[in-house]
Amino acid sequence: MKRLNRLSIVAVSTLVLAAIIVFAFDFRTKPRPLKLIFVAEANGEPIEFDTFAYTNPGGTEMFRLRDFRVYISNIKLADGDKVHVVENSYHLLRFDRSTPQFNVVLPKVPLRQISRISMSIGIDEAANGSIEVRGDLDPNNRMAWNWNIGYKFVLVEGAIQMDGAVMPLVYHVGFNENRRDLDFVASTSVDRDENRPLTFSVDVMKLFSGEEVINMTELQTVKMDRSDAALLATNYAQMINPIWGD
Amino acid sequence: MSKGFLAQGSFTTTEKRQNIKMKLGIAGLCLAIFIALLSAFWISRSPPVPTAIADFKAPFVFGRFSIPEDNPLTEEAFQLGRRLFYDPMLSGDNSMSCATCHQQERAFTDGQPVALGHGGKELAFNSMSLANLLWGPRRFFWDGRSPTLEHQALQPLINPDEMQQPLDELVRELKSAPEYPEMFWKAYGEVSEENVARALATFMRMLISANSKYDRYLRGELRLSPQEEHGRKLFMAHPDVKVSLRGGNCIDCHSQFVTAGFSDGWDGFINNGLDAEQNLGRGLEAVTGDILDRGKFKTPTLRNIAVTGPYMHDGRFATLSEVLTHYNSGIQFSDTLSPLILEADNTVVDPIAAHGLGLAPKEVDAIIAFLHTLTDEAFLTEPKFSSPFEEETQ
Repeated sequence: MKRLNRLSIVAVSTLVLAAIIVFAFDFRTKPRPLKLIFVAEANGEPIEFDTFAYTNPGGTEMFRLRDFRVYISNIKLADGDKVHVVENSYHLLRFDRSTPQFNVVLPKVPLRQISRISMSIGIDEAANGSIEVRGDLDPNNRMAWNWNIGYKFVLVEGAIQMDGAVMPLVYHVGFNENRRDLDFVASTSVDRDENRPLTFSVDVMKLFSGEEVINMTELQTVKMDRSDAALLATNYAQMINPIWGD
Repeated sequence: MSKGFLAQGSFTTTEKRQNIKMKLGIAGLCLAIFIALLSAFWISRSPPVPTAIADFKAPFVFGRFSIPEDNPLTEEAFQLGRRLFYDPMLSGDNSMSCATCHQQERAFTDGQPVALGHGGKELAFNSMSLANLLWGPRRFFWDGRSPTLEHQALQPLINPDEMQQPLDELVRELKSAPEYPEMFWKAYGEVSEENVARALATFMRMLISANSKYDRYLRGELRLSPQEEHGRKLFMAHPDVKVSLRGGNCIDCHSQFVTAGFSDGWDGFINNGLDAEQNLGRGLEAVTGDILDRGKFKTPTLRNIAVTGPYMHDGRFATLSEVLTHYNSGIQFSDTLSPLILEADNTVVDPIAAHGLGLAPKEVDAIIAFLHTLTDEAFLTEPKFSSPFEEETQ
């Protein structure tokens, strides 16, 4: 009888322990939202919009920024071999003086850790050639050129002081060939137990002072000229970087 | 003996039970009748369920829209809103209705440079068209001072320069009018300020213009004339002399399908170079308090633009030709001028020398021809949008 009681206690304890483990495991793998924070920067510092605070990378003139927008798309996250592909992943990062940082919340991410994240600056060819509304794509928004050309991938607008005058700066970069695919691997996987967001720096100055140094007085606008657009695309490939916090 | 007692006792118990059952039955019946009467009374006092507008379809190319959860689109609300829109009872002295300044044949504008308020007083702004309000900027009035159509709907009523109508007085009038109590009952349940706003907003939301020549072109039903097609291409292009692309730059502010301003944030508010710095109106600054918004006004829809003159927030241009002349050669510089307007030029690379698009007369004519394809005769004559009072007198 005593032996039977002991067996019962062991059996019940085992069951309870198993339930706790299963519950905890289930909790840890249950899809949870993941917040991505994109912080607009200029030369590694938070952007000051609407003031002539920046020097032309290829000259000496001062310029200001009014609007800075970037389409990112096709976000994929990985925890080792497990890969999560975000559906309808088209996100417009909008920065201006009232929004120096922009949050993207991915609703259901079933990963315990994040060891790798990939995304594109720009939009895949199929979506760029479509007028379908999905994600943040909207053919009636300010990023749409028109249905023949598709979307602007990166938009920077502002003004530069030249010879006592204030001149416009307009950089609208699109075209399928200018999509840039980014892939970031964490040195240490980010544990999601504390619902930590992932933070990224988006440095506007890298658009003008990367592999190609841009003199804004010589290149005040980039729109339809494909070689000019390619120059900026080469630079903006380095514009977004994760801040892993480790 | 005992058996007899028992038998008698047993009989008495059965009789009592039957008695109790009968009483319970009567009580139950009374309760059921009471509940039925109460329900009938309650039902008779509950407003009927309004009829959702079933055949409401939005053009695919217009994109997303949203309806407030507390004001769904219903037939009853639409009919009520339509009647209120055309009823001069909505003004203090019963002399003006919404339709005084928003006339259907003019795409719900009035043909005046600025709206004329009570006693013919000139107001600050031109009367805006009411087409396709489900899309475009989500703020209303030229300076964006209303965050919802429900809020917007009451502002002209209570403005002392416009309709001079105290809302409590209006509710009293509506309650004593023969038709309104039942119409409100069916649509919302009761006559109230909020429900006046809701009904007017519903009517305005349903004013959808999507059957112009341009719409039929988009649906593949017809071709534009060569001049209209030339104008369409210019409309859709930002000029770029570097690649010999000529453009009217319209699309930088007016979206390609809706043709209104953009809906995100304040994207639909632009300083389009009407005035130099010293003469700049406040515009959006009056709402945000931010000097960097000075001179920015709401980008209006271009649907039916050929019949909605005069143009601009203050009606300063009488014709489309004058509007195009402004964009072509009359741009005034100020600190908040849109960089896209300042930069857009078809003739020179150096914007210092530019005051506009620099289009040739033929190109200007082509854009105007395209703008005429946005006129939607079906919208301008749609009986559902017309005055119900005229229907009643026919």
